[in-house]
Amino acid sequence: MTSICKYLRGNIKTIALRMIFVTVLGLIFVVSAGREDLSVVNGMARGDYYKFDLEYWFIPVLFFAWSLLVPIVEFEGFINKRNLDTLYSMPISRKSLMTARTISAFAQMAIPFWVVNLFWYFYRIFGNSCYRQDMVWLTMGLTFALCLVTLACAEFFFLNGNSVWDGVILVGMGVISYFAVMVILGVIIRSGISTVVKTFMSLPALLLFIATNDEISMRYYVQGEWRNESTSDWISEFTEKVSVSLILWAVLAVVMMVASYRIFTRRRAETAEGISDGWFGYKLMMPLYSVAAMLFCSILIGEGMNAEAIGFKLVFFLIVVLGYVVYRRGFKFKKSDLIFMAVLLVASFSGLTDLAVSGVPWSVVFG
Amino acid sequence: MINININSHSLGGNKVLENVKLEIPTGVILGLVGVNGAGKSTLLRIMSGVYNADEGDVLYDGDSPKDASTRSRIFFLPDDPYYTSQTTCKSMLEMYRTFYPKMDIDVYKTFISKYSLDEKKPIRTFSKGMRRQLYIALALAIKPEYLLLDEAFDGLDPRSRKHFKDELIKLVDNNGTTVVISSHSLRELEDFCDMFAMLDNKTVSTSGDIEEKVATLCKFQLAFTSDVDDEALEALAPVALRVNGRFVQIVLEDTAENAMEKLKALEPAVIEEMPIDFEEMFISEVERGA
Repeated sequence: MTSICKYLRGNIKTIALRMIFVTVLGLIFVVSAGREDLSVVNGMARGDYYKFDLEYWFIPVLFFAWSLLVPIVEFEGFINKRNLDTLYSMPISRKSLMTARTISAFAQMAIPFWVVNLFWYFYRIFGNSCYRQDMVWLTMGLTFALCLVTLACAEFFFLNGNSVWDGVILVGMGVISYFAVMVILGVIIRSGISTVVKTFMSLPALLLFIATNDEISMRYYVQGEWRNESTSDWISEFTEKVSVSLILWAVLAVVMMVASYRIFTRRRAETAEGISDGWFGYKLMMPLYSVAAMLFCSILIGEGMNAEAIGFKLVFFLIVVLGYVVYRRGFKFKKSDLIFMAVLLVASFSGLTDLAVSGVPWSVVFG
Repeated sequence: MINININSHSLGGNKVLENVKLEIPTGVILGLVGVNGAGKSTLLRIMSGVYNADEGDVLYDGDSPKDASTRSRIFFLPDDPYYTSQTTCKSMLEMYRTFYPKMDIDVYKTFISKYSLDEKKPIRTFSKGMRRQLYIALALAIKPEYLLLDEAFDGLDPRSRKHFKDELIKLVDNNGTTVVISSHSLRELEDFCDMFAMLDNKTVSTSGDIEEKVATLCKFQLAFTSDVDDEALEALAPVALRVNGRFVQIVLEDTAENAMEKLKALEPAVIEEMPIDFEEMFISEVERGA
């Protein structure tokens, strides 16, 4: 415990500077963000219909990016050969080092997050009877859980790397693969989707700016009083969904943090530098990433294009192969490389990209 | 007392150290020597707790460097030490002070001003020698019980080298510190090391007192009027042998008198005893091992 305190005290200036940086950025966003009051929407069959559209999207986006960046900056010294030589020879145990850094990373995400969110709350929401205060708190909690799980996952993938760049690439792959898995799951289960699964999967939408559903964009409809029946139903469903979501994401965050802890405490300094061939190293991440990259690109830029065209598939195939060759520093024919190529070929030419473009999974899953 | 007993250690599937056994008494300066890739840095990393030996261990008065409390008595200066893009002398001092609270700040300040290092400048802007000066200042200020230095003289100018050697001797005399220093500058090591250990073929091939070891060898230069009798020279079991036409340089593990007798029997036209130093002893040992 003393070592952890000593370590945190020794790094307090850097930690504070980072927190101040992101907090100021967040506060600037809050102050400059708009509040769209559409007021009465004329012509609606349901009578007077008030819509208050508060800009909240920048907070999750800012802290999502921050949650990805913090572990990279914080744990950079843990996977760099030069730094490991010094850190591992210091009179602090690996467990303490890891605990201190995890606390530090958590604080760097959590403190600015709540400062910015509370400022946003008091600046925009507090005292305004148009907004359901409990729902606002739930949404902030949900966003926090998301950032927490993002932090834990980024930490996990980064620590699987054998050098800083390797770690950064694995984090990138993890993020893109995660979205891809969500799409695939969404496509598979869209016909009989449960509330829990839908809630679980609706979260990436928040981070992709593409959410249009009410709970995510913090859009609150008010028709006279809150007691309106349809509004009450919606609020009840929202509250249930967010509560389940909060628990799921919090559990996942803890699991990932424990996994990161185990990876670090068992890490061999000898493996620093180079690329990771561990369980969550390139062997697993590359095939997943190749599929993910295709789906992701297909969704983002494939609309309006002829996704079935062979040229479209070929371009994707070549881009991913090129990325792989650069990452592997040459063309290799090991078993894992051949598996990657096989997965890539199947993903490219089996119609998966067509599915991504034509299946409209985002709207089905998240809409 | 440091007890090294490493049965084996591998890096990337290649065995780097095998059956390394060495005892280093307290308060000595030991020079760790060996050709490139001999495993000096790996051994120092195991000694400092950075690596865990695959089989075997290193003990400091019976304590393992795997324990953080043991590492508080050790300072390891790797060949390429820690710094980030933002690290300054000041932040480095803070970091080390956190873990070595008994650090003598006055000693640190003295060295920093002696080396004219700007405390506010990022370390990344320093030359290799300047970075090493900073770490030397930290090491000397910490006054550890055990000081492990990897390629300690690398990048240092002659004045700094001399100063560093003088300070190390003072540290050993005043503090009883045990110093293990790896370097390719054998002439530097010879100046101030009490002992040496040579890593060759993955193990400690030879170790002991430098002067005593050098005294067991003698070197002669011979000139012959006719062709050199290679077989007769080889029969003397030389530690090192260089034949250049009718001129021969030979190193034998014997007393100078005995060696002279044996060589005279070969009837050279000229025979002359040459001085031998630690570096020549090293080369001879490496050649013999090969």
